[in-house]
Amino acid sequence: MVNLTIDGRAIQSEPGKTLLEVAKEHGIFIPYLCYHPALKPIGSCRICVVEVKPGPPRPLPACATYVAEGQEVVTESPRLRAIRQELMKLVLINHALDCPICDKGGECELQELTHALGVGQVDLEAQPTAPNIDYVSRLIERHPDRCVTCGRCVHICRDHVGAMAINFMHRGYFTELGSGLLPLDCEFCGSCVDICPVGALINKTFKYRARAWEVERAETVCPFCGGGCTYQVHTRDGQVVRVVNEDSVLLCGRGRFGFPVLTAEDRLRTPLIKENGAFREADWEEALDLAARRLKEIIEEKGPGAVYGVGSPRATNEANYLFQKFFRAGLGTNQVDNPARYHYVRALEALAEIFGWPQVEGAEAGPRPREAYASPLTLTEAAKGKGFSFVLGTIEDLPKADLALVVGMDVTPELPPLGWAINEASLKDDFKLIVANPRLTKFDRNAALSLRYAPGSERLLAAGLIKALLTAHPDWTPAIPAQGLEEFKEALKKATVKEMAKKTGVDEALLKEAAELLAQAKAPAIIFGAELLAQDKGGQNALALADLFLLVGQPEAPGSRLYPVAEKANTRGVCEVGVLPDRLPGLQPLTSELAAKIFAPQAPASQPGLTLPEVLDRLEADAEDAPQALYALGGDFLRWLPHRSRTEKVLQKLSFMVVQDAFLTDTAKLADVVLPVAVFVEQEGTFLSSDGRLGVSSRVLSPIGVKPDWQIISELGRRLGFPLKYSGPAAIFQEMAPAMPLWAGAAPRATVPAAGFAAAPAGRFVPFDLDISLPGRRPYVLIVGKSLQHSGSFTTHQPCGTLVVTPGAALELHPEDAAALNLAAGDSAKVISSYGEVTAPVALSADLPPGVVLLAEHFGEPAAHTLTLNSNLVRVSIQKA
Amino acid sequence: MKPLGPCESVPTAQMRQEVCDSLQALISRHRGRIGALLPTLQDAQRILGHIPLEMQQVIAAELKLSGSQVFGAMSFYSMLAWQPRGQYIIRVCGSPCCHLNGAAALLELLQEELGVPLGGTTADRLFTLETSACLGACEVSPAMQVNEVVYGRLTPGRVREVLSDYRAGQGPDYRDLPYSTCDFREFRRAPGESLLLENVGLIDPLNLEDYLKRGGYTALEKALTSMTPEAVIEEVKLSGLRGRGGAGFPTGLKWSFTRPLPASPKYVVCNADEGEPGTVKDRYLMEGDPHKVLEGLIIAAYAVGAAHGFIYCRGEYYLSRHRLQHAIDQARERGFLGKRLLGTDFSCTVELRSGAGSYVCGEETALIESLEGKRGFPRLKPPFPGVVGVQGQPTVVNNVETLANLPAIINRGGAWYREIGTPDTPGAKIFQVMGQVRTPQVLEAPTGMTLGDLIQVYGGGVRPGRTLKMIQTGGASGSLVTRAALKTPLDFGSLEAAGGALGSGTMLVMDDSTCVVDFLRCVAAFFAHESCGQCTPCREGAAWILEVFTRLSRGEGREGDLDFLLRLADTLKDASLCPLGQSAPVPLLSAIKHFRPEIEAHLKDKTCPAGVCRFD
Repeated sequence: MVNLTIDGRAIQSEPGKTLLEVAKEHGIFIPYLCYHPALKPIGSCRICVVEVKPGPPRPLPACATYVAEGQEVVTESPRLRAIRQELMKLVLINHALDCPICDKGGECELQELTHALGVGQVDLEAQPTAPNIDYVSRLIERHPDRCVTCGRCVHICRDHVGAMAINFMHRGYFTELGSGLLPLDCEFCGSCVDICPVGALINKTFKYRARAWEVERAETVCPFCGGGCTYQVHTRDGQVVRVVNEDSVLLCGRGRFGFPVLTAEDRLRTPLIKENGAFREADWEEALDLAARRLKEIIEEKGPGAVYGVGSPRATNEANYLFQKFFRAGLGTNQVDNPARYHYVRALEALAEIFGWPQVEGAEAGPRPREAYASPLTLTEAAKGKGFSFVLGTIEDLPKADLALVVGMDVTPELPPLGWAINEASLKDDFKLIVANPRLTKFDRNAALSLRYAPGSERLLAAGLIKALLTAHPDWTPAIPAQGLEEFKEALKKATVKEMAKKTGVDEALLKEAAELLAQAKAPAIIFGAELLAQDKGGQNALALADLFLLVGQPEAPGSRLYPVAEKANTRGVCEVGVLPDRLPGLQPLTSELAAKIFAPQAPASQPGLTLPEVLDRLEADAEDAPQALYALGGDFLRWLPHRSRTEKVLQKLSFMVVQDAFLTDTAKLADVVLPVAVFVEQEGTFLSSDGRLGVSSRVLSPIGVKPDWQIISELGRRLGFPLKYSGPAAIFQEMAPAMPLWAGAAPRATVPAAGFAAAPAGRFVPFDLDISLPGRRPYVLIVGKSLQHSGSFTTHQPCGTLVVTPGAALELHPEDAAALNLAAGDSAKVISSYGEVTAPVALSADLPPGVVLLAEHFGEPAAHTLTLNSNLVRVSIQKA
Repeated sequence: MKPLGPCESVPTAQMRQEVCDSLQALISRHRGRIGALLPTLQDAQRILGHIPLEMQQVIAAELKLSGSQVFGAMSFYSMLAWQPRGQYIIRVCGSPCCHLNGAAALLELLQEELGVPLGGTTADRLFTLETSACLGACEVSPAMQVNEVVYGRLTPGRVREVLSDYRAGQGPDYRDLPYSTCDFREFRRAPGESLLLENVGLIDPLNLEDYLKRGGYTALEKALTSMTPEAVIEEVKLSGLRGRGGAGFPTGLKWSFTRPLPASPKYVVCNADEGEPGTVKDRYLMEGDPHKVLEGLIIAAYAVGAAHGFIYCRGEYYLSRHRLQHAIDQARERGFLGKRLLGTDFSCTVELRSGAGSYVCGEETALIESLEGKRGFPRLKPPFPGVVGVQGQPTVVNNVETLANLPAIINRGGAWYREIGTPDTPGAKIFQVMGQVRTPQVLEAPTGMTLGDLIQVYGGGVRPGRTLKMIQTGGASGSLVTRAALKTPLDFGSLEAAGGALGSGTMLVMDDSTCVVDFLRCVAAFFAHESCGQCTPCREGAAWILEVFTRLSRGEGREGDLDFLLRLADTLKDASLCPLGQSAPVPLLSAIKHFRPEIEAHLKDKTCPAGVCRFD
């Protein structure tokens, strides 16, 4: 500890803190303008200067001066007051002082500071210059005449967002902030808006909608990706007017500008019943009664196994838990699955194959937690854990890694907060990034090595890395206790580095260099996402990367973990609460006694249910055991599952389908009963983020006409004779959490598995499939990918803010390919596969290698999965439409 | 969203195919280098004379930068342009020294002759008229530069002559000129031995043999083959050498902080961004004896354990860079640079970089930012560059003249060197006597010569019929002293005690025809122009100091102006982030001390006692 005095007060501080931080901790007021706790010291405003002895004769900025033993600090003196007053005047001379119409009024740091320092007069007048206000940029408005040139926006955009879209321009008195000679063309995350101490950057969706003091604030978790950001929702008159992250300020574009989708005109407000092929509005009683009656008929006729349930990665843990309970306790079957089967579940199964399903010991029931969403299970000192959950990393810990290998993933669109973490890590001198992707992505900029491989060859890339490493280090011993290395080597015997290099298209030397970086790393992390999991052999891809991690992972080093990305807000949660045909809540086996208690008096079925793809196959084959009824907790299967025409045809074979959704999706249109649900701020419950963080969604708005998922499930259950009665989601959480030892210690904003487990990961090498052929002869490989501005199809409804930035999908292709096809940007192209065709506008992108084209999957038109078969990769032909 | 623009050069109205090709070619030359952006922009500007948006987009995409990084950096530097300009850029020097010697009249004349306002381009696209904060041609003031060529001692006749030469397509090639301003051997030299400028004007700077014949690179050989790096540092410590850039920090001590750090790589940087008004000394060394500077830099690299050095030379010094680059190439060919120098284990490369018109980049942390291809924003200190410098690695930054001292120190020993000059500032120093003296000049002498001798003996005293009024010591940020200081020996300590500063060793002499308000307005204009804009006090304060002096010089001063100036001065001095802002008010504070009545005459009586300011 460091001993110092501030204004004569003896203070002890940890070393490495700044004087400003220590003063704040001790309630000593030091004014500042450019400092922000989320940023590294900038030191430009100089308002926080304090006198420091020993030190130079000049005062020093408290924000950038670190505590030292024996320091005597004075924060208030006539000299300091004079400096601060003078600086404030200098800032105010050129400040627009249009506070009555400035959106920042009421929460403006300059206003507060002027008041706090009592600067009543400026006694100077500057020649007014015509302000170069930017009204043109989308979502963000810039008012240079209000700017105090503190540099916060430049720093957050560069150091945290990594977009570097905003920078100082010119110099001296004429220094201003700008985006070069063009309007903003950035990620449109708006983090610059919220870090701005004044109104120089304005959120267009909030402009003139409320004064800061008029809003009501509530905390909730963001629903637009698996990042699990907790943010504050500001409402006025029952309307959300904006969302902000009061901690790190950071949110992505969807997070910050996506909320207007709440008021989308096409949202469902009343239940719908299909009669003679057309929907009519119905009241809740009628719709629920009808759904229950039809389900009952099918159960009576074909048995309980004839009803199949699909949970939702957008619904809360509580709703999903209740949903699987509906089937397990109500119907006595395991006929449930969730759409992550087509990507994230493949990762879980691969990880389980190598590291085992999670098992924990030493979690015991403790006193009833004070928080509604905290697990009553606590960890004893003997708490131990093994299985794959203990090799998964958290976003917070990622910057502790010294190397990250990102494979087949454009990080920011899939999980923006992971992108921020990579940026944070990149600021460290000893951090190295390897980006492996068929196309150029944002983080190639930060990468020590970029590996461009042929689409779909991820497994061979992993094999090449493994072989190169083992060739250079024949006596390599994995740090994680591992079995089967010799057999594994044998299985890879024929896969030479040279051949892997040739088949992936990656330079052999680069492959070896990357392998050596992995070998030298003290804390390597491996990151991958939906883009490689969504291939037909996505599970094999995950297996290959898990093998690679088993080889190089350093379980003792924080940050050295696997980071499979769970795409949606509750993709990980829907799996962990047991919406899987072969796993109970807490990922426990069907034989778990602990989990069995929650289904009492019904004993859980020992027979696993069908997976969602199996259901589709059975239906297609008109199999005897094909389910007759489908109960879906949302999810537009037509849009998300590969081979759209087949999905559509197969779903039409169902005798009955009931869908809970916020919108009348193409899938919902096939249903017999559609039940409108509440969405994020309209319902309470929890989400489990991609990195295992528990986020609490709070009910901020009163839903109009719609019901929360859990209530609908409960009411349907009651009608079918199952008692699923709860006082609310918290009661559901308190029922499920005790049955899930994996979630012991879970609490809002904390991660599971909790830090208190003594983790003992161990693994077994599993050989993986080395065949990467992509069928067909068409000349281009299409990757169905993700857009940065969209979260599934949720954000594609007007007036979602991000539609201003990305209103639709375009077929992206290399300029050379476009030239060969006689296509120019904006032209309409017909994309044809053996399974269907779509028409899409053309966008040129040299980020793609020639021969590879990209289409985002979020939109109904063009519907990318019209083209696919069983993978997000497909061979296509392209022609001018 | 695409963080990067198109990755290829698409021909547009501004960019024909050959332009695209040359742009791609130069980008591939620079890609992957530290701070590739600035050299790329400088080379790209040569293609069209400016860098249009299309070019910026290609550069951004190819260097993996954003458009705002490219434009943010280029708009910081006054020598980079994004609007079309003429074939010849005329830069009229507006530094205090040139101002005293008639730069304003020169600028008026040029506007008349060219028929364009300041910043304008002639209709025939031949000339663009600009000003420069300081060209570094003070000994021949008033001066201007046409593209790379400097023209000094300008008279109206000479200006017309130069213009007609260019109109006739007869502008000289700067590389063929013997020197950029004048022959060092014209100047009166101090008695005794010369250590720094001894070769200047006597050897062919493009001929390594000449340097070798006069003992060149023997010090490097001695250091590398018979001394440990630690021993080199000890020798330099013993010599008492203090940095010649202006701050006077002991060189050996600076090195000793960096040497023991385990980090790798380390860098050495030769600070050749000689921008301090009145200062031209480094240019004489670089133009006249470039190998000496290079030898010093390699010795410094060896001492601190750096395998890579940079020379950051100011943008306006074209001839210096031409000769330095030549010297680097020759040294590489002869094995004084490259791998395993002189058969030892020590390897070293040196890269020449150019500034682009920014005085603050002479500040070492701003220089490092600029080397990294960014805006020249000074960094917060600590950490100092010796610990965290170029790309976060330990970096020693030394001035050109400092490095030029090293061969003599190594060859003849620190103890011998310490005996030269004064105990406060041992050694030889290059002085410059500038402004309103009969013979402005550069000379080398041991420290300790008096200010009076410098002015009288070497500067030739003030011009006939004039009396000495004041001297600005050490550069634009130095304080003013009067005749009372003439007996002061020239070294760091003595000048400070006398209320002045040695700074870069330049002394700007002003006679009774100079108005202190007019002079301070010119100094204020310099700082307002060169403030980087990062910290509030300097960004705003420097502009307000200029504003107040502008109105005082027009007789529009207001009550309270003097108090306001004093408040501003304190704010800048106490609260600015870097030495530029901290020292910008120094001349004004000293002027208020010595010449308050003259300033008040402008304010209260609306008169200019020197008859310079026009109150219409």
